[in-house]
Amino acid sequence: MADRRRINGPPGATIPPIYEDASDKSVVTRQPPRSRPANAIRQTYLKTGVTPSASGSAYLEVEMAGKPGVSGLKLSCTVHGPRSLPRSSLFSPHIILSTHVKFAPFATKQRRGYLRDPTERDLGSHLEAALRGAIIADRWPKSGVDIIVSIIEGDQDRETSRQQGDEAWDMMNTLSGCITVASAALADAGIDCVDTVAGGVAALVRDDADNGKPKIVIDPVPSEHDKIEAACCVAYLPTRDEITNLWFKGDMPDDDMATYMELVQQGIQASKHANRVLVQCIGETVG
Amino acid sequence: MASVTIPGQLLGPTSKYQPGPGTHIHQTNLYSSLLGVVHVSQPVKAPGPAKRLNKITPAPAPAELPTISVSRSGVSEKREVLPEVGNVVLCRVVRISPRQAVVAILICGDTVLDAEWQGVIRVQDVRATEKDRVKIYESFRPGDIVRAEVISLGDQANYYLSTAKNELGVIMATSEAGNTMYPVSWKEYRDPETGVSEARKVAKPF
Amino acid sequence: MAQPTLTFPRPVFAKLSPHPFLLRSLCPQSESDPAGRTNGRAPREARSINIHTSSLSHAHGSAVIRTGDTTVICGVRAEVLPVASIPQFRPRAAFEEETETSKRAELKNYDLLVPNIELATGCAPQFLPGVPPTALAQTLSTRVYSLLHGSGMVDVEDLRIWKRQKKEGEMEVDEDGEEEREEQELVGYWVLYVDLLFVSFDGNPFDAAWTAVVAALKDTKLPVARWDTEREAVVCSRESRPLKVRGLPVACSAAVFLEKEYGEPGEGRHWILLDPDRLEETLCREVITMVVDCSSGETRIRAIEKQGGTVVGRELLRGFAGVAEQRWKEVSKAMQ
Repeated sequence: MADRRRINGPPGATIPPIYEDASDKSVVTRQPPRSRPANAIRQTYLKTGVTPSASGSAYLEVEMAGKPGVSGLKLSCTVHGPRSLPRSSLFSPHIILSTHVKFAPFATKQRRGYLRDPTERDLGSHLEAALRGAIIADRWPKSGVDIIVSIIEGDQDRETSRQQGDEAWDMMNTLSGCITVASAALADAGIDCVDTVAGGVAALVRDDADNGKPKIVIDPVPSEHDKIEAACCVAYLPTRDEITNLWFKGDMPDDDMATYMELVQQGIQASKHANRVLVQCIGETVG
Repeated sequence: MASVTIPGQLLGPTSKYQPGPGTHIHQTNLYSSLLGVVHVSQPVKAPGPAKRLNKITPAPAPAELPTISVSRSGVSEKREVLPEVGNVVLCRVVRISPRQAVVAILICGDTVLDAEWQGVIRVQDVRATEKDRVKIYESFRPGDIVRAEVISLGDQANYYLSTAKNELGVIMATSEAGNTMYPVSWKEYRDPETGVSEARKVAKPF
Repeated sequence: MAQPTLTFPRPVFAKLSPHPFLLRSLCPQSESDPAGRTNGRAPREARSINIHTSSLSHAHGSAVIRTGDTTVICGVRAEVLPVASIPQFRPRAAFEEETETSKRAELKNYDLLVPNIELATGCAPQFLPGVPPTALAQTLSTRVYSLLHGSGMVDVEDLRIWKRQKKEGEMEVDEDGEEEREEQELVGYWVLYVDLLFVSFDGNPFDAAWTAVVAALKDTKLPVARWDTEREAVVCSRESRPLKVRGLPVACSAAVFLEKEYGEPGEGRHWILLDPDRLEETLCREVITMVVDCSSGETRIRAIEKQGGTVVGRELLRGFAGVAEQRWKEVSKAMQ
């Protein structure tokens, strides 16, 4: 079932390049371990107003981890609204939020299709939950707002993720970036919010260098660690001290509540760091 | 006092200020809900016509407190507002039927709207007198620019508008020949090139 | 009778009656009021262009183009198409001479260039996701596709992947008397996926998209590929070589603005607005695009496309070639 509205290319399947050294583990250069402190996030760049024709917009870039082949996250977000709802929709006393998260075809190691896949839908619903807690929805009766995040470049390592065989950790960082960039775009659009929501990620990692002793780091880069045990992505409102969305993934013993709480706490810390960048960015747009 | 705030920033206790547009109350404090500039207006001059109703504002406010509000002016010209009951809007007629004229609201007060909000002018709201003789096709044509007043939030899709005042009605009209017409009476526009008159509910020029 | 429009502030005037708004801007009312477009440009003035390449790490070539408020990102990604996956693959017989035409046909028949344009990023209020590609997105993709093939920028030779093996102890001796010679067998092709993403949209999408395609192709480096006999697959080394791109075609578009919004075209005055913005595009029915390439020293016209209207005739077209030539100089300068 070829999509007749796009140019599909050859009917036969094409294969992404296979490198001769890919299966040879010894050749793959081991990424240097994490150099920044466990409680520091990577350098983040944020700018609003990149899409003048939208009601609000923002662009976020997380620096590369300083190694070739490791891409930093690049996100562009546009907000359209408040706009009238489609004629078919029912009366709504508050604003209806719709979020779309889409990877660009060139955003990740594997070429992405143009149709939204379940991962993208999942990111979209997490983002919606994170923002819904921040927006004062009843200020805008019978209206809707569209929040669209385009992932220009995913937070993904060109080499390592395949070995680990799991994109889930990258998705956490991506979601965290989506939350922060959408929050900036919402502020730019002038949609009433109770607070500035920002995303943060913390992970429980195990490194051979530490004799396999687990430790918690914030803003993890999967390729910098031997193994990630668990991670959580938190959307947090700093002045309210409220979490609007929590995404936890991983493998932890059920009697270890303390570690779990600590992980969430560190996620909040990461979010506070991101919030500082956010506040500085949107504050600069004035004056 | 004019300083920049961001959403969630503390503005002061509710015992000192009344909430204006762009603010919200959490527990006993007032916070900003927008990125914008803070304005404090003293109660003596009653807060100017608010662009939109603030749902959180308690109904009749105790008069002695100053109102604090956050406005987008100076931050960004782009700020969507919702049409409110009593607002004067400028709209373009999209289609007409014997019962009503459907319009797209383009400008609300002084604000150019980004989105197109749909409104209807029902036949009984076209003018104040001889309501039962009104015919929509003698009042509006698609493409006309109309000045109207919002009378109700309406149903799920439409705002209800009225032109039942002298200064409300068609302000710009194009003739069937494609020329811009000028008003000749309270119910007629004329094409300067062909001299043909067309019936409209004409707004009295200011 | 005073025109009521005179009393409105500019943004209100623009929203209520965009056509008279632009018309008034182009016809000065007084000496102190210079004629110009509503965006402040002269009719034949294009927006300056800003090109940034190699910013994407997962693509083999990339470019970000900004002209005014239009921003587009292009990523070129190469994937291997093994000959076995081509249903109608027909190897070229030894006696068949390879010509420019046969090479172009090879590129097109096997569909080795795959451009797609995504507008549904919210780059403008009319382009929201969740719906199939708009007619504009489909048209743009097709125009880029046909220009990619028509301009012959990419040589199919560059995309072929060979299996090379040494043939030793040949029974038949070559006329040259070589004892050893290399035998080549075509095992696959590189397919170039050219994906374009509009981040911000303010008119003239084709020129921006095409410039991004050219800049990204020029930036493209393909891995060095060979056939691995053991694995029976194409493998690549970490080395890469730049893709050869022939020529530098530059697209130059303009819209024709008529004095009369309605009525017969041809009456009244008209203006040629180079590099139209979003407002101008909605007010103009006639659009012309000329693709020129001056890289060989002389101006070659690669494509002319014209839609709607009857203003642009032979004379205007000839004059427009000069405008396009000027645009070529600006773009090629920005490419460096």
